Amino acid sequence: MNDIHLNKINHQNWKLMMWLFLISDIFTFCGFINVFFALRLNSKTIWPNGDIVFTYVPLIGYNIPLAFVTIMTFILIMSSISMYASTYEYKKSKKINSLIWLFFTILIGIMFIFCQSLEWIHLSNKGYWFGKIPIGHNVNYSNIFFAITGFHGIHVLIGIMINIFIFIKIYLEKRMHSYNFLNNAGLYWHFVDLIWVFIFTFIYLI
Amino acid sequence: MDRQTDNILSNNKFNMKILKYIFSRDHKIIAKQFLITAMFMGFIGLFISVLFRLQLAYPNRPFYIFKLFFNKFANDGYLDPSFYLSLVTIHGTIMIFFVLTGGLSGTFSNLLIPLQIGARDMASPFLNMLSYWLFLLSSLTMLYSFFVITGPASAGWTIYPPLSALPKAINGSGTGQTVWLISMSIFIISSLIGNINYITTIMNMRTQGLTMYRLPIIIWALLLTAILGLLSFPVLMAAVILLILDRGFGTSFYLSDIFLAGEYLHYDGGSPILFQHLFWFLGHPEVYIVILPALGISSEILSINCRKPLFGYHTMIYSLIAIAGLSFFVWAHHMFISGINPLIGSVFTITTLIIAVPSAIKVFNYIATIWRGNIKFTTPMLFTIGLISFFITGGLTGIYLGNAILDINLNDTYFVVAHFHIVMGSAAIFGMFAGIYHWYPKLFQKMMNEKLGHIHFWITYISIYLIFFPMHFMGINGMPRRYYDFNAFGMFNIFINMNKFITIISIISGFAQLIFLYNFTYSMFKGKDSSKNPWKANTLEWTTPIEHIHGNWENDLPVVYRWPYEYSNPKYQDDYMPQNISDKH
Repeated sequence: MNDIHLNKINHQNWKLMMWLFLISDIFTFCGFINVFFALRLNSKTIWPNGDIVFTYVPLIGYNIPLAFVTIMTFILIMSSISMYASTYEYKKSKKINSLIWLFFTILIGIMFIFCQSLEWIHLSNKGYWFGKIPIGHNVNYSNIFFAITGFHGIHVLIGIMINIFIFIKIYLEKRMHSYNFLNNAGLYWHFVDLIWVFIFTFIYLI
Repeated sequence: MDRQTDNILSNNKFNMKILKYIFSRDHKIIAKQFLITAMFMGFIGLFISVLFRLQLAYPNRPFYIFKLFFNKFANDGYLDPSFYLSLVTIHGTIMIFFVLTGGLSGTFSNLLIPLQIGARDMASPFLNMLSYWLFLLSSLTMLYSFFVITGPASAGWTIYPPLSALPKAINGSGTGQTVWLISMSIFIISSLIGNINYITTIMNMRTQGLTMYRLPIIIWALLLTAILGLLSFPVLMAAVILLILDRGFGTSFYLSDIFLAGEYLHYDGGSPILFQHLFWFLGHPEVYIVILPALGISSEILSINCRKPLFGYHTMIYSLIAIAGLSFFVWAHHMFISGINPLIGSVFTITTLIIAVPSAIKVFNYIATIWRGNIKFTTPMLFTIGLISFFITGGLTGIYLGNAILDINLNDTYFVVAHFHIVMGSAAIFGMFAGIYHWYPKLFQKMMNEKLGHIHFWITYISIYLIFFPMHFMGINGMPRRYYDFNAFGMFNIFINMNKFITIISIISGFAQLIFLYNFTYSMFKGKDSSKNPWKANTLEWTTPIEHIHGNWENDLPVVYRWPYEYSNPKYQDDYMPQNISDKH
């Protein structure tokens, strides 16, 4: 039959779908964070303190607690701002500006993943890994740390891939009709940043 | 996108009907795909249940049928004890996830949401197709576990650690459990995609005049089902990811101080109860994901077949919302004897008993709808009455089980088996049957045979009570679930004949489902042609042309002027008044 009556893709629908997906994803992260608190509050052995575990700063020295993760958090939040700027410029039909800001977002995302890899490598050298921890501490500390940051890292990687895809799409397109796509990608990116803020608070700070 | 597919398909080169079914993004065809996959899975689940009933009734007798199907796991026809656990596990998993979640809400969400809200298709037909194909993939993955050398998962459908977390614990904990977890991860993604799509469609794509308080109850039920699935399945995802880490990466989220075959395992600091909390945070809403679509279907069918407006339309909606909301606060009533704090137990007793109130309101409204109605005993109506009967019977035992004090004695006995098979299993299956019989004309343009439908109903209805009612007494006498052989315990000797009786009835009811299968397939080809509105119903799905067209309505979308339950209103000439007909002529 003919399908001229079929609804065109309704951008309002995609936006709602994105929000519903994010709500759903919040529940996944809540599951992990609940596990974190359940394990921590029921811990019978020593639960390591973030000040002691995370002292590593590449290129500078070893004795600045939480400095590296603070830098990581800072750059990730900066990427949120650049993502917003990209969307804003795109809305004002400034394609080049938008692409530049999007490029910065991708770059910062890759930097974040790079920093996280450095941290993981360093921690695994110090004896922290799935099922491993320096003697006397609660092994579930490193278990849940790697599980949550790993799961968040996968989200960041997916976000980078989406951003690269949309970068190419905007670069190639003749007319500017990717605003809703860009906006949805932005929603996802801000969400990933927001989750990191909670992870930073719960796992590193307290 | 859709236009391209349609062009390819209408091309002379590819003018094959089968391709139209495989690559379709049309929600009506996806509904058929969901239904047929779920029926296939349902028959496998039914067959498995008959097999382990045989084992329970005749524990020391070899059966050729075991040897025929599971040669590996049935030495000379004697069923392997650990394989018995696998059968129970897979029966539960298939029935709960693949038949009553994927099948029930998948079929009817796809079929009814666009048709009843007056939309051309789902919000995203592509995601809809993806949701079905992932569902099929996860179904096949689950069935694949029968071909694994150590057999399917055997930790129960609840996959409690440590049995599921230690790959070497029993046969089923090995590869079978891994396959189970993979299958379930795919299922969660499929259900996430589906639910996002259903919610968006209902929220954004209602036709002109169709306000939220003019929606049929079934749409409300499907909306709340989708919301429940959206919020509860991700928590299972988190639990499954951590379980996979426990199995393969040496973490100990759910394990602590464990000996396996005399050897001390270096797991420390975790807790199996943690998994139970995460699992039942999904698990209890899951029960309502199963039953809410069935309750919604029954509301539609009751009103249509009693030729009466649904009693308490708004109360119905509020009680659905209350059930959906409360279902997130009752999960620990599955864990009263797991070793949780008794104070938490009493809190969850209270919330569990509160959830009985909206359920009772719904039952009251059903009965008030039937009261003095002009009842037409069609097959869907019979199944709906059966559903209400099961909902009352099973719901009453739920109040006993919801009490922490009583539950300590009844937990993990056949009383629980009887309770959830009646209230969740049978009631939801009856809702599904009612829905299939009712919307069969919409799905296949033919009517199903009423006489065979009646026979199917009466055999199934009576045998379900004959199977599960005696189990209450077994449970009160302390007979535990999931045991391979009760002859080993002298105290259960009084139930030997009862077990045989239940098995014989379950075989009869199993064969009765073949009547349904025959009716379903025969009517598809040789059934009586259906008219445009065979049940004289008001909702919008009966205003579409009989032949399916992509886009549902030929010309403009219908406009809605009233609520969907305008039956026997003396103001109008007919005893029904479709939603899309204006009062002004």
